[in-house]
Amino acid sequence: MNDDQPHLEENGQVEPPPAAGPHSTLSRIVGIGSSLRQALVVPALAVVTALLVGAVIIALTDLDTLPLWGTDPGEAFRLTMSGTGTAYKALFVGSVGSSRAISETLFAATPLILAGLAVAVGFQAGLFNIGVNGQMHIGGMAALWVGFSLTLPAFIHIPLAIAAAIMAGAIWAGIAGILKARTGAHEVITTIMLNFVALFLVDYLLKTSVFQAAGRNDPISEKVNVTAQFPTLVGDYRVNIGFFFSLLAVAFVWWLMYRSTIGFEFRAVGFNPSGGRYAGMNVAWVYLGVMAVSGALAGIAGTNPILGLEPYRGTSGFAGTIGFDAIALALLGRSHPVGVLFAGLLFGALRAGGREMQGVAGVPIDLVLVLQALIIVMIAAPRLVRAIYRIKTPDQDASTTISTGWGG
Amino acid sequence: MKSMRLIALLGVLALVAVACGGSDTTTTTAAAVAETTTTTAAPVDTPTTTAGTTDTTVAMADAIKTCLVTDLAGVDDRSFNASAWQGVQDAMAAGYATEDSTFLESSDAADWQPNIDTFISQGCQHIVTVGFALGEVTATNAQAHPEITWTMIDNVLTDASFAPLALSNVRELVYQTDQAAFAAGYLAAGVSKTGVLCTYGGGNFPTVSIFMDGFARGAMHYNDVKGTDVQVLGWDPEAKDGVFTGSFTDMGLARSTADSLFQENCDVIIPVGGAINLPAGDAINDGGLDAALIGVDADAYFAMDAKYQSLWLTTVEKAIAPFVTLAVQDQQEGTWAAGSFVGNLANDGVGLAPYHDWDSRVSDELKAEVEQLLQDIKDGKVKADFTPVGY
Repeated sequence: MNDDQPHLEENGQVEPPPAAGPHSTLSRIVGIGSSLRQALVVPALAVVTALLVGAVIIALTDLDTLPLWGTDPGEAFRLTMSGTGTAYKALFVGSVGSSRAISETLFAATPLILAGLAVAVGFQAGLFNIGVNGQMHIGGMAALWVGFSLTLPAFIHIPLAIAAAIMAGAIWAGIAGILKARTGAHEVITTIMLNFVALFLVDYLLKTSVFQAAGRNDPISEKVNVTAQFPTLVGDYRVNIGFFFSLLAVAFVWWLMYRSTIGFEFRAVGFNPSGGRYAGMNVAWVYLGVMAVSGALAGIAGTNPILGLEPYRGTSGFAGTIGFDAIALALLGRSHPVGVLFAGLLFGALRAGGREMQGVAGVPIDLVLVLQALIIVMIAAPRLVRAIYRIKTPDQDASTTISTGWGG
Repeated sequence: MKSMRLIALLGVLALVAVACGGSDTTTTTAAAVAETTTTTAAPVDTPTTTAGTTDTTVAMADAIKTCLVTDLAGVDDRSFNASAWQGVQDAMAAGYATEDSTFLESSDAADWQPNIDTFISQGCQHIVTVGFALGEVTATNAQAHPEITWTMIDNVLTDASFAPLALSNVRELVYQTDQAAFAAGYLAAGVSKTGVLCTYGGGNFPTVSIFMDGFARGAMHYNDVKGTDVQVLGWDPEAKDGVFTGSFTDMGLARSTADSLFQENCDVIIPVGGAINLPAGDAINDGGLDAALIGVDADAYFAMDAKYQSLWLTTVEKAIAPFVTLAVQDQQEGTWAAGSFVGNLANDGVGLAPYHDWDSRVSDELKAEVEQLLQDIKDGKVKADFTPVGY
């Protein structure tokens, strides 16, 4: 993309070519618009607000302390504060409080970042890829097959397994892309439905002689060969080279979306499909391309529960709910690769810290889901956050545009 | 403005997705968990059955810190996680387990190792892992931590290639469930008016299919004895396959599965897999059908919601709670032994729950026959166990 061309900003507004100055330099380097501070203020406040509401929930669900409010409010207040304090301290300690905690945070963040990128690429092009979960499963199965059926040196085996996952994820998502390009079938419907197909396909495949572990009657696969298992980065900590792959993917997506012609087309079509068509872009093919890239990223995300997690086997529904968490995560990250990186680290920290919170403070791990949901409510309703904190609404309601074109 | 509405819609979508992914805690109550104490089967397959009278002499100082890791269903699943935790609570109440004994829930497979790590760092002396899915991670950790005792439920120790493995610090609790399910199949065949019984499971796992297999074989036994032609839909003992929803949480799918089975004239159904039997109860209630449910694991008459109470013909029970309590008691009293403990009819590890509301609708003759059948299975006169438990 040429710098003389109109610059399509993160906020979806076409701005004049950037003039010299700190803002424009920043904008050119990271792809974040000149309203960087404004872009960050709502997500940051959303997280803070969610934690505050979460504290209230912890207090309200503390059944031992609740009756005390009637008799001894002072003591009840003290107990509530110390209870919430213990819970959030555990959340903090469990996510960044030790080297093992940091490892767990990065380990949990790895697939979240990749899956979040998959959703974000779709959002930027105006596509809602709700099928990341299914694409992860299909990609993971491809990596699994390469992982246990071939014997190769690790430096070939791991890239090959990932390549298989990329292909499989891209093809699976491509089904929804083709349906949209050819027939106009809405990708929200098709990708949601393909999730179910993928889940049951995994269950079926795991019971076939190709995948099923010898001597087992339940859906569990052979173990991935040691050459395809992701090496850990530090000793017996679980964080592995998959985290580097997710960083590479962040860099790649940034380059693709902000530095390549294809990415420009993706975003232009996302901004305005009619405009894209008028500018000579083949919108149908762009949709297919977006879905393929999104599915490829989801496929890589799907390798983590297989190649990066003991006991390195495929089981029923192995990717859990990461593909759905990723939707929330992409919203929080405002569909920007760097935003997704930090949102992924935050969600990873919540996962790792949530376990500690459950273990130390006895707060159910479900609270983490509540926190994530609250964050999304705040992101989805930026005016709510602005109203709570009395922040002036900017002239252009810029930084809230995450994606355009429902039904586009 | 348009984009605002759009984003709000998306947010809702994301919320729905997040909610769908979470464990279904809204449909369960603490009371239901507490009610599982009504599983009163007392295991006798133990050298320490006289312990009941020595409760008062138990020294609290020797209590064992017992920590439980659930599988994905969570501790309030009204099924085996709930029963296992009940067993730990009973052990706490009796002074066998320390007051700070606790549990951790797992939201996906990536949680198992950190949950076990947490317990190890908290100084747990006895770690209970629930469900065969945790088998491999339990085996690995038990080898790495011989100083901790481990109890695994519904799973037998195996090494990485699934060959049997013996560890001196692991006790395995497994259940010859088909013995009781066999009697339930016989009972159902005797109760059925249409001559069609049915079953479905959450997934074709050994711990699920063993119920279905025993049930189907029990009905076939009834045919052999009585010369009838009672059909069982949903499980083929020869093919070792049947009707599975593929999910232990998808209630809609369970409902449509139950609906289609009732369409085939089935009037006694045994759905296997936690709460997926409730949609079958809804199908009966909504359609005003004259049909009965058979529960699994803990007596469903107490474990499940009151609106289904009149539907339970019986429950094929697995005495998980008492066996977990016993595992703690044995350690506390120094009589602990490793190895696999098989719950069967003879040691009350499995059994049939009372008929409750259906009592008046089961003929005395049939009741006596079922009693006799249970005794015959116990004595080995009738073979009812066709599925080896574990591997």
